This record gives sequence, C-alpha cells and structure tokens, in this order.
Amino acid sequence: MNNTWLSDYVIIPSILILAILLVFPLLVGYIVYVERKVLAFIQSRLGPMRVGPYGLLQPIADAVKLLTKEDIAPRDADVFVFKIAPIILLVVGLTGLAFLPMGEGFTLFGYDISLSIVDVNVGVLFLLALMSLSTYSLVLGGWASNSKYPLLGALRSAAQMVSYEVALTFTILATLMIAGTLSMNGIIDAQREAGLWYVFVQPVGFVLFIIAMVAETNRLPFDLPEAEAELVAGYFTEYSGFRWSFFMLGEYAAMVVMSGLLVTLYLGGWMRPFPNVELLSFLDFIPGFSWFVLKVGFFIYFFIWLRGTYPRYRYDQLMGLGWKVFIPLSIANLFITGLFIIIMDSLSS
Amino acid sequence: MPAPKKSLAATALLTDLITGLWTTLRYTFKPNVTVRYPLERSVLHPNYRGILRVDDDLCIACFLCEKICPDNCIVLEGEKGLGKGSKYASYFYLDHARCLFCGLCEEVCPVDAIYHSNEFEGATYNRADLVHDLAILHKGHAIVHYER
Repeated sequence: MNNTWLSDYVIIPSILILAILLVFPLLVGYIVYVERKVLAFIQSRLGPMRVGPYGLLQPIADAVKLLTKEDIAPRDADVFVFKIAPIILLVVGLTGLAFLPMGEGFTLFGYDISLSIVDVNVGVLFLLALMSLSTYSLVLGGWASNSKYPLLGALRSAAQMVSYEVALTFTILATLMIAGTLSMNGIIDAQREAGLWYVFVQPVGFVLFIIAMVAETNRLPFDLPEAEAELVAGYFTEYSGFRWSFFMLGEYAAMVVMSGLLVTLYLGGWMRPFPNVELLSFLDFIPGFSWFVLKVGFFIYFFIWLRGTYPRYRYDQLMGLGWKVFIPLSIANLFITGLFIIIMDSLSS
Repeated sequence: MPAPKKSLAATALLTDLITGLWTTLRYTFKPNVTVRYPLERSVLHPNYRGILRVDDDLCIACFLCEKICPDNCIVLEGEKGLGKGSKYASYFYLDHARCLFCGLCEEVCPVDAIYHSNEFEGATYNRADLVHDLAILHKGHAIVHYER
C-alpha cells in the first residue's frame, strides 16, 4: 500500500469532498421530491406528476426557478449578516457530512481509501459542536431580516434548538459511556466487538435521540419556528431565490447528518445486521456503503413519515416537553446506563 | 365527556403515537383519490345539474320555464306552428352567466324539453358568449379540451 501523507490528507479527501459537493444538491432536490410524494400518498393524493414522468423532473424545474429569481434583501436589513446567515447553515451542514463513516475502507490502485473523509478521534464532539453552530445561522438570519416574523421565528428556533441539544447530548453521553470512544469509526468498531447494535442496549436512548433529532432539525412535530400557517415562513421569510435554497439545503443536510449520527451511534453505521453471527455472513457481499445509505434513507423516510402524521406542538408545549420531560429522561438514562456499567464490570471482575 | 386518562404504560410505550404512524403507513399504500383534470375527468351522476340544453323538437313555448326561473335567465318567443300543429319556440335565449343551476326549469317543463346535461366546462372568454341561443342549446356548446 502506497499511502503517503499527501494522498491520505489531501488528494483522497479532496476527491471525496468534490464528489459530495457535486452530488449533494441534486440529492437534496430529490429528497424534497420524495418528501412531496410521500406526504401526498399519505394524504391520498398524487403529489408532483406534471413535470416529467411522475414528476421526476420537478426538482430540476425548482432549481431553475430558484436560480433565476431576483436576489433581493429588505431595505433596512443588515446586508452583510443577511447574506452570511444562509451560508453558515449550508457550510455547517455540509461540513458535518465529512464526519460520517459511510463504509469500510477499500483498496484501489494500492491506495487505502476510507469512506469517511476525516477520522477525527473526537468526531462525535465535533458534530455536536457543528449542530450548535447552525443555531447561529437562524438567529443571524432572523435578526438581519429586520422584520417581525423572522425575528420571532429565529428566537423561538434558537431557544428550541438549545433546549433539545441538552437532551441530545445526555443521550449521546450514555452511548459513549458504553462505547468508550468519541471517534465515529471507533464506535462502529465497538459495536462490532460487542456483536450487536447499540439500539438493543439503549432502546430508551434511541427513542430519545430520535425525538431530539427531530426537534434539532426543526421538523414536524417541532417545527413551529418555520410553521407556514403561523409565521409565514419563520426565520427565512425574507429570503427568496438562491439564498432560500441555501437554507433548504442546509436544513436537509442537517437532517442527513443527524440521521448519519443516529445510524453510527445506534445502528452500527455501515455494518450489516448482527455483524458477528456467522449464519448471516452470506450478506457480506453487500458493501457497507449500501447498508449506510439504506439505514440513513430509512430515517429520512421516517422524518417525512413523522411530518405526515403528527400535528404541530405549540411553542410552550414544545419547550415544556424539552425541559420537563426529555432532559430528566435523558439524565435518568445516563444514570441507569452508568449503574449497569458498574454492575457489569464488578460482575465480570 | 373528558378524554380517557392514558395509562403510564401507554405514555411510556408511546402507543398512541405508534397507532398514528401505523394509520399513516396504511394510507400510504391505499389508492389516491385525485382526478387528474384535464387528463382525466370524473364520471358524473346522471342527476348532475350541468349546462342546460333544450330539445328543439319538443319545446311547445309554454313559457313555464321563463316564469319559474328565479334569475330571469330565459327569454323566449313562441309562434303557432304551420303544419306542426302546436306552438314552437322561434327564439330561445338562456343566459348561463345568470343561471344558478337550480333545476327548476327542468322540473317544471311539461314535455321535458329543457334539461341539465352533464357538461360542466362552460368557461368562455367573454360574457356575451355565455348567452346561448337555440342552436347552441340544441346541439350543446362546443367544449375546447385543453391539450398539453
């Protein structure tokens, strides 16, 4: 294997980054298409059908429309902050994609290529920090628009994201205690050694993570900050055209990143189900990347399914749930996990 | 009456939430109810009160429909038929802009000359085109189907 410093840290990551940057906007466009179709089927209607066969060219039409729209800003808006807010969200979302381990490494032309762009040994911490940064973008966007609906939406959204981040962090801590490492690849290795996915060890944590994940990404039933009926469009009311598409790309990137984190922490990342069971080793020909895509794809469908099923929480109910229910539950989860670890350790020694 | 109290097990296991998800999942695979107009049109009940039509041969110009119309949409004039043995309508104008499609003229006509068809695509580009004379009422107005 002729891996050099240059190939490991410059060339291969650049190629992977370029691949993601080229593919991701189109992918998000089709996630939006899938969302519209799935929501329509849940509601017994058809969704986009006119543009192309079965509406498959709808994202292309939307992209063309967004790109050719006039780029306006409100007159009294703070122009620099107004322009930078969606860029922050997009950059944060796309950067998070770099940390997801998308498959096992393979060897090509003698080079070892790993399918996670970076393998930081504090990957989970970095991802959590990135998700916190996205709050900045909302607040800046809402403030810079110089208008009451975006401001209210931004403040509500920031408060909501901050509260659910606490619950999220405590839930992740419990899993990290079992895994023993913060590195994303390390967590997958720990699950392989343990022989089962952590969802079986931490069922409560899994459910809590899902709920906190939905609240973090501002999706129904926690999407009051961008509720169309109540706040026009919340913090991105004053954005149109290309800047609005940045917000949308950033939001769906955050969804993909959070789903990726969920899959890595609880569902074994790119491993097949029951990785140590010899009986199922005939499934080994399926590459890890497909398992990853399958699992993340299922959770994106789950996001859309949740959106089609539940009504929206009122803002005070939302904050009450976050602080009075989920944070105590996640702390209790952490406590019980710690107890179990101590008991298991003392039993085995 | 107040809603039944949820048991602790139901709250912990999120039973009602999962029931909701199951319902939505079932509906995802049920057939859609959308009628994709203009590519398809739904089939209407025979009693549907669509655009009015008059059978020229049956009308005896009794003026009952003109009198009963709540909106005064109908204007007609009758003449004694030479060789036909009864009156016939020499002209018959029905203003579909005023018509409220109540069906009274259809009910009151003693010979069933005026009737509601099943056509509903009556939009025109100016109001004058909505006044139908006897020729249009007999043949039915020309529907221009939208072609993509």
